[in-house]
Amino acid sequence: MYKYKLIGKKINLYIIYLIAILLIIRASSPAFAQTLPKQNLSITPIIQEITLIPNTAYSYPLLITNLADKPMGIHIDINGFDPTQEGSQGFTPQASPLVSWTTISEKDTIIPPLSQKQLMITITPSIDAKERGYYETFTITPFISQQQTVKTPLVLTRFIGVVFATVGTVHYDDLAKKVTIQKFDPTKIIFGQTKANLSLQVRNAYFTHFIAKPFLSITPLFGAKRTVTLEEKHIFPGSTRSWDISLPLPTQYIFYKATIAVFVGNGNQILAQTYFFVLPQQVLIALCIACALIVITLMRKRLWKFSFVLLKG
Amino acid sequence: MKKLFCLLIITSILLPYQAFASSPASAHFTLQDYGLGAGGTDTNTTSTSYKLFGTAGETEFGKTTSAQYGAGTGLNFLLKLNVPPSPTLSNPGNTYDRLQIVVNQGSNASDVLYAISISTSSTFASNVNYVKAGNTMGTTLTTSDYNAYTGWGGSSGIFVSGLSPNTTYYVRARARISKFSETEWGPISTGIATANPTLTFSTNNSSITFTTLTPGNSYTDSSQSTVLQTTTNAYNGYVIYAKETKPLTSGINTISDYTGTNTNPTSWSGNGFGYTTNDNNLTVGPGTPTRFNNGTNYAGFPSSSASPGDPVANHLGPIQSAQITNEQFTVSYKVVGTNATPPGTYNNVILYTVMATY
Repeated sequence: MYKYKLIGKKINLYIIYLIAILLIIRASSPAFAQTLPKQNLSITPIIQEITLIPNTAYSYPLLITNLADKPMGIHIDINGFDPTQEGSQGFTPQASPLVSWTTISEKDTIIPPLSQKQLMITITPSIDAKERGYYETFTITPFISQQQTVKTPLVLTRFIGVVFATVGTVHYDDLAKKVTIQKFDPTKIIFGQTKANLSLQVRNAYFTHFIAKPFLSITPLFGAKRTVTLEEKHIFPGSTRSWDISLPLPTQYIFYKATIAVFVGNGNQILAQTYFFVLPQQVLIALCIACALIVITLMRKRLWKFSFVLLKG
Repeated sequence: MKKLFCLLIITSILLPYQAFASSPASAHFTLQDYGLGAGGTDTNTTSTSYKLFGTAGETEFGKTTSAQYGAGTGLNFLLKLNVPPSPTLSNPGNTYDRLQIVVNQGSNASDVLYAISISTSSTFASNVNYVKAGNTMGTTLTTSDYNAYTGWGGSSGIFVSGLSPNTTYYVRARARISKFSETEWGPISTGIATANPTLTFSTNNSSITFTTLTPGNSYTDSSQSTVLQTTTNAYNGYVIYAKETKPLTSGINTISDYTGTNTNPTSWSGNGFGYTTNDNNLTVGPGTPTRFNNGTNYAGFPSSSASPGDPVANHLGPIQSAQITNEQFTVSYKVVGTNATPPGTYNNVILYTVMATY
């Protein structure tokens, strides 16, 4: 009897273990039907600068890495864009010969989880391609491969990569002649603070883009020169880029010389120079007191007479 | 006559001592001529008050040495500079078009000038360029390309740009002072590679689930958000734009977008669907960088026709000393309905577009 009771207990235990195992399996099964895979992608190169030769193919790999633990489909669009305006990063699709020269090995593909996919980009300019800059974007959009009944707002991500291409040879000394500093304009007299605000605008009239490297030097009268490296920016043909700079200044100087050197490549540079005055608060107060004293000194007789009349009256 | 004669004597004594350059001298000794035949020992060319600049020595009685004197072993260059060691080349920011170079002075004086050469060849056999003014590269070396240690950025060095991505570079330096003393090129550095321009972007969710809007919660939910995470080595940084495909829609019914705009977001008032961002330095786009007031002012999403949308987060350059790694910004959503809002399940698509700036 005891033996049968023991066997019964063992069977119950086995049943309990089996149920527990089944529950564990059920809980850990992937819920593709219930949740959407999060987008987690890495793209390289995200900026591509190339020199093209007419009628000669140029190829490079576009690497897309799926960092998520679920498969990710991606779709790639290629569009031209016009980068000629300051802040024009709206990427409104535009026609561009570069787009017609570009092919991609796959425009739609699915990348397994935690995997990388290499797509080949090939650009073959036409034989009559003119010497100039050409620009296009790659828009990489992840998509969900399985059918979903959308009941809530969805969050999707998208990448935009850019290609800057040049057909022709860049001669930096010629380039320097086609680049102008259109504006280098500090506030001429700065009152009550010790910070200089300067605006810089550089225009490119060369046939292709270049990277502008500005170096700003501020030299106070009788003081040491201080040089600041500004952010480099691409400047596209026919366009202008701007910099707005705010620099703290030492309090003891009043007169400053500002020099901007914009390097365009191969050591070539264009220069501009200007001057400005800084009147810190303490100097302003001192000037006001000095002016008041001068006025009082010059007008002392009239003031004395006026006060005498007031007292008498 | 006597005076003239004395003057002539004095002049004839003094004239030979006119030197185009100062002669090596101590308090009591001046070396007038230090070509072959000057003094020194075979073990030391200096003493407390004397230093040999040229080789010395002559044989006497069949010997080139004596107890106090020995011939040097070769001709030393006059006042030659120390050949500078290889500059320190590195890529601290994992950059793709620039590398950091720090000149090593090699015990030279502070007024010595240096030129830097850079190549993709480990032996400088080909593709040799020089670091020019503005820290760009050029194919020719000129006098103006020489710079003092401080001009090369001192201990912080400089970033030479215009390099090709995914390419290994090597550098070396030479020293010069005035027109008459220049060393040969120094040893070549270890090769350091540029990276590829990369952008990694992820979100912490792919859908937004608002709580059911009821009178109990004043038809309001502001608890949902999306965390945007970015890693990039793009020199000019990145921008994230956002837009929606349509207003929140359920069948033919919609919840309108909040009236605030990205240029002028406002403290929430009224109803609608809107967003805010905790990027308090949103420098892209019109409006002040702090316009969202650290996530307390709201705007409505632009429509699908806006390309690529409104900026909701950015990190502008220059990025060269350290890349941007796993930087996070949070976009928070708010929806407010009314008791007149038709019941239903409202949805749309929020699209975030990330790109490297240039």
